[in-house]
Amino acid sequence: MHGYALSQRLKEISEDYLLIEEGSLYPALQRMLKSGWLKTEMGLSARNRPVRIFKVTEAGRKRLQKELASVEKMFAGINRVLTLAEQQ
Amino acid sequence: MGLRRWLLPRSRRYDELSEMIREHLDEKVAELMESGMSREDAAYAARREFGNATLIEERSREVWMWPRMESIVADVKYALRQFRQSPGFVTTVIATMALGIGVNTAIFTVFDQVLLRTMPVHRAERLVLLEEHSAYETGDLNAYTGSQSITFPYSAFQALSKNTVLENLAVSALAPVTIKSPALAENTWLQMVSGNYFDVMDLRPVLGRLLTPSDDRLHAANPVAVMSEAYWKAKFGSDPSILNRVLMLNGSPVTIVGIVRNRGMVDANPVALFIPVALQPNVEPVFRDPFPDPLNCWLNLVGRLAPGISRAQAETQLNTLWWNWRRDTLHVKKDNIPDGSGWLQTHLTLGSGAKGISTLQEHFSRPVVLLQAMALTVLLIVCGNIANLLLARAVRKQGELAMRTALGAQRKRIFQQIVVEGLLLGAMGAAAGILLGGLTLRLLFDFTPDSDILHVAVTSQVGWHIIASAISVGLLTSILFSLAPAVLSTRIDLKRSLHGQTGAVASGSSRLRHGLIAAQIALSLGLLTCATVFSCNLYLLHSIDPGFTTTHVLTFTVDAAQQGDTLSQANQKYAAITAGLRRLPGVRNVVYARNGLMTGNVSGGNVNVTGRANSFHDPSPFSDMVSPGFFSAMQVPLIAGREFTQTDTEPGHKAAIVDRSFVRRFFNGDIQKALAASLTFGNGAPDTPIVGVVPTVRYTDLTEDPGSPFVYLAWELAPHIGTHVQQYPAVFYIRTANDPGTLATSVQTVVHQIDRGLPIDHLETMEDHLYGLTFDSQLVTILSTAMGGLALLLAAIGLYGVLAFSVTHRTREIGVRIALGAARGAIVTLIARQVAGMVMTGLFVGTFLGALGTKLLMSHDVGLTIHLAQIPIGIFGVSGIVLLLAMTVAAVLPAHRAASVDPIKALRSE
Repeated sequence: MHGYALSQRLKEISEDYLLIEEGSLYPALQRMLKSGWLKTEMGLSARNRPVRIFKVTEAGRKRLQKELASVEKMFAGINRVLTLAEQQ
Repeated sequence: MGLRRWLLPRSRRYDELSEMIREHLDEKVAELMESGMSREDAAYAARREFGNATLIEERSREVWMWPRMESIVADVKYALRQFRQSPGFVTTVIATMALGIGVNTAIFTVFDQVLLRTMPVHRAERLVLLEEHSAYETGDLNAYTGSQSITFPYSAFQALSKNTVLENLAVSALAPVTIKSPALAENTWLQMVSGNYFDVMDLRPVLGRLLTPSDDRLHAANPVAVMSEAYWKAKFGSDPSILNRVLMLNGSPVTIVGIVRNRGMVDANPVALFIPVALQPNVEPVFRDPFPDPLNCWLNLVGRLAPGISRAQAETQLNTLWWNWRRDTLHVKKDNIPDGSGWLQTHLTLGSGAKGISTLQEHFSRPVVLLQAMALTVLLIVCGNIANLLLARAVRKQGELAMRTALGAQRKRIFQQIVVEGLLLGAMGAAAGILLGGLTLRLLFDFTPDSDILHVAVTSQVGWHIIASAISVGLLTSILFSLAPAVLSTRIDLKRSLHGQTGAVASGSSRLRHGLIAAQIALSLGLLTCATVFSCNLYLLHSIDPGFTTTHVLTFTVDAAQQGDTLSQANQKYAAITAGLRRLPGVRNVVYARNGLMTGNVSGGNVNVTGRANSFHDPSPFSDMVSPGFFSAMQVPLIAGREFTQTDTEPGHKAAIVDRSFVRRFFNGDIQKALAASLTFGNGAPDTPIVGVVPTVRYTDLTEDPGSPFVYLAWELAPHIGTHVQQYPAVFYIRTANDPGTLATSVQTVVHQIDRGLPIDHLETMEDHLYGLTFDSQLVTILSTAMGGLALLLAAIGLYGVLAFSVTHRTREIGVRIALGAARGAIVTLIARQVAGMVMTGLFVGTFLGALGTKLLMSHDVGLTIHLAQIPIGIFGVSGIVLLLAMTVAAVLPAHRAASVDPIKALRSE
C-alpha cells in the first residue's frame, strides 16, 4: 500500500476518531523502514500513477505478532480490571 | 536491520522520501480534483491536510541520521554558503583574527622558550642550582660578582656532596676550546663536569657511553669526552665512526666515547663536548690546579632532589654542611680572608635548575613579557572587533532568523547553526593566524644576526602545543562572541522583527558596541605610547656617535694562544697576518687590539698616576692594548701628543694614550700635565708614559657612560705574563677603500696561508657588528611599533564598522530628520557627536594607560637605555594626534553616507 492510500485507510478504519495530519505518518514509516519491518517497491496507485508501495517484511510480520500479543494482553488486563470495578 | 539499508546512500534515501511525499500530495490533489475542485484549491487543501511538509520531511530524515552529526554537516555547508554571500564580512573577521592570533603565535613561541621551556632532561623540575649569598667581598674588582653567586670552589663541592637530601650533586664549568681534528679547526665551548653529571641529568647516550665517576680522575691514562648530538650532526654528519676517534682539545688529546642529546647547562653557549672536570689541567693549562684552592670559585653546582625531599628540607641540611665548610676554610685560610665575619655571614639557597643557567631568561624575560602583554592587548582589541562584527551581523540577520523561526525552525537548531558558523570562522582565523605567525617568526629570524643569543638559543619552529593553544584561543574567541549575539537573536520577538523593527536588540547592544570601541581606542593609545618610548630609545641609540668611523671596516678575531702557541709565536703570527693583509688590493690599513671595540670584553682596574695621591673616589678606568697606527686606522683624531709607534711595542718600552675623560678625571682637564705624566695599573710605581690624548670613544659598549675614563696601552711584544697563556686574542680591523664585505674570502686565505689550523671568529663588517649590538633594541622597537600600529588600525576598522552599521541602521531616522528640515550639517554633527563620545572616552583612558605603561617601562629593565627626561613630551602628543587622525579618517565615510541619505528613498524603503 502506498503512503496516501495508507493515510486514507487509517482515516476510514478509525472513522475519523484519530484526527492526525496526513504527513505525520511519514516519520513513523521511516522508522519502520529503518528497523527493517517494511520495505518499499514501485507499484501503481488507484489512479494508475507510479508510486512507492510499502510492504511488510517477514521481520515486520513477526514484530506485528508480538506487538498484537502484547496489546491483547494489555487489553485483557484492562478488561479484567474494569469488569471487577463494575462488579463492586 | 539490513546491511543493505545502511549501505544505501543517504541521498538516495532522502530522494525517495521526497518522492513519496510528492506522490502522496499528487494523489490527493488528483482525488480532490475528481471531486470537482480547481487544481489550485486542491493543491492548497492537500498541503493543509498534510501538515508542514518541510518539517515532516526533516523529521523523517532524522530517523536515518546520526542526527547531530548530519545536522552539523548541514550547518557547516549552510555557513559556507552564507560566507560566500558576504565575502567582505568573512574576510574582515578572518583577517582581524589572523592578525591577533598571528602576533600572539609568534611572540608566544619566543615567550615559551625564554620563560617556560625546561632543559630536555627527565623530570627537570627536580633539578636544583646552588646559590650562595654572603656578606663577604674580596675587595678585588675581578672577583666581584654581587651579593649572590652560583660558582663554588671544588672543596665546597666535596663538602656538600656528603648530603642525604640530593640524589646526586654534580659540578659543571664552561670553557672555551679549540677543537682540532684532521678535518676541523674550530673555536667552540666545552663543559667540564664531574663523573656523576649525567646521572644528575638522568640522560642516556644516543651512541656509545656517557661519562662515569671512574673517568673523572686526575692524570687519567686515557682522557675521554662525550659529544653533543647537535655538534656531531653538524660537524661530523652523524658519522658513527666518531666513537674512539681522538680529537685535540686546546692541543691535548681526548677520545670520544659517546654521543648525548644535550647541549649543556648554559643556553647561550651550546657546548660541543663534555669532559670530566679532572681533565681541566689538560684543556686549561694556564689556570694552574684550581682543585685544592678553597677560595677559587669556578664551578656551578647542580643537583637532583632525592624522592620525597622538598627544596626547603634540602636547603636546611645543605646549609649545615655549608657553614661547617666555611668555618673550616676560614680556619685554614685565615690569612687570605680579610673579612672573617663577612665570610661567615652566608647561606645557601636552591634555585630552580630546570632551565639550567638561562642567559636567555636573564636578558630577555622582561622584554618578552612586555611584548607578550602587548600582543595580548592586540588580541583583546581583536576580540572587541570580532564581537562588534558578529553583533552587527546578528542584528542584520534578525529578520532572516525570525523568518526561519516562523517557518518552524527550532530554537536549538538556530542556536547550533550560529555556533557552528562561529566555530568555522574561528578555525579559519586561527589557521590563518598560525600561518601568519610562523611566517613572521621566520622573517624575524632571517634578520637576526648569527651571533645573537636569540639565534643561538631560540628556534623559529612553532611547537604543537602553541598551535593547539592558538586554535583554542581562536575557537574560544569566536564561540564566545558568537554566543552572545546568538542568545540575543534566538530570543526573537517574531512580530517586531518581521515588521522590520530590529530596534530592541540593536539599541540594547549599541551601548555595548560603543563601549568596545572606546576600550579599543584606549588600548591602542596605550600601545602606541609604549611604541613611542621604544622608538625614541632606538633613535637615540642610532644617533650615538661611536667616536670612530664605522664604514669601510672589516673585523675578525683570532687567538693563536688558545691552540697552544707561545706568546712570541702568537705575536709573530699576528704581525705576519697584518703584513699579509696589507698587501691585499683595496686595503688601506690593518690594526688589531686585545679586547676590541664593543666586543663585550673589557679589562681595567685602579690606576696609579704620577704626582697624584690615590683617592678612594677615583674611578677605575677600562683599558685595551692596541697595535701601532690604531687611531689613524679607526679615524680617531688625536687631540694632543702622538700615535703609538713600532718602538712602543718593543721590549723595554711602554706607552699609554688616554682619552679626554681620563684627562678630566685625573688631571682636571689639563692636557699638558697629562702628557708629562706616567701611569700604571695596580699599585706599583707609574712606569708607562702618557704619549697622547684622544677624544672619548664608545669603546666597550654603545651605551656606556661617555664620562668614564679609558686608557689605551701600546701592544707589548713581550708582556710580563709568562710565555704561555690560555688566551691571547687579537681583534683585527681592516680599513678598506671599497665595500669591506667583498674582502672576507681573501682574508681567510691570507690567515690560513700563515696558519692553516687557526680558527677565524666573528668575521664581519663593523657595520654588521654594530647592527648586532643594537639588534635586540631594534627588534623590540619594530615589534612594539608594529603592534601599536596594528592596534590603531584595528581600532579604526572597528570604529568604521560600528559607524557604518549605525548609519545603515538609522537610515529611516535620518531620512525623517532630513524630511523634517534637518540640514546636512546637522546630520554630520549627529554622527560626529557619536564619534566624539567614543574617541574622547578612549583618549582619556588611553592617556592614563599610556602614562602607566611608560612608568612601567621606565621602572623595569626592559632593555631601554633612555631616560624619561630624554623623551620630548611632545612626542606623546604625536601618538594622540595620529590616533585622532586615524579615527577621523575612519569616521568620514559613514558620516558622508549619513549626510547624503535621500529622505524619499529612506522613507519608502520601509
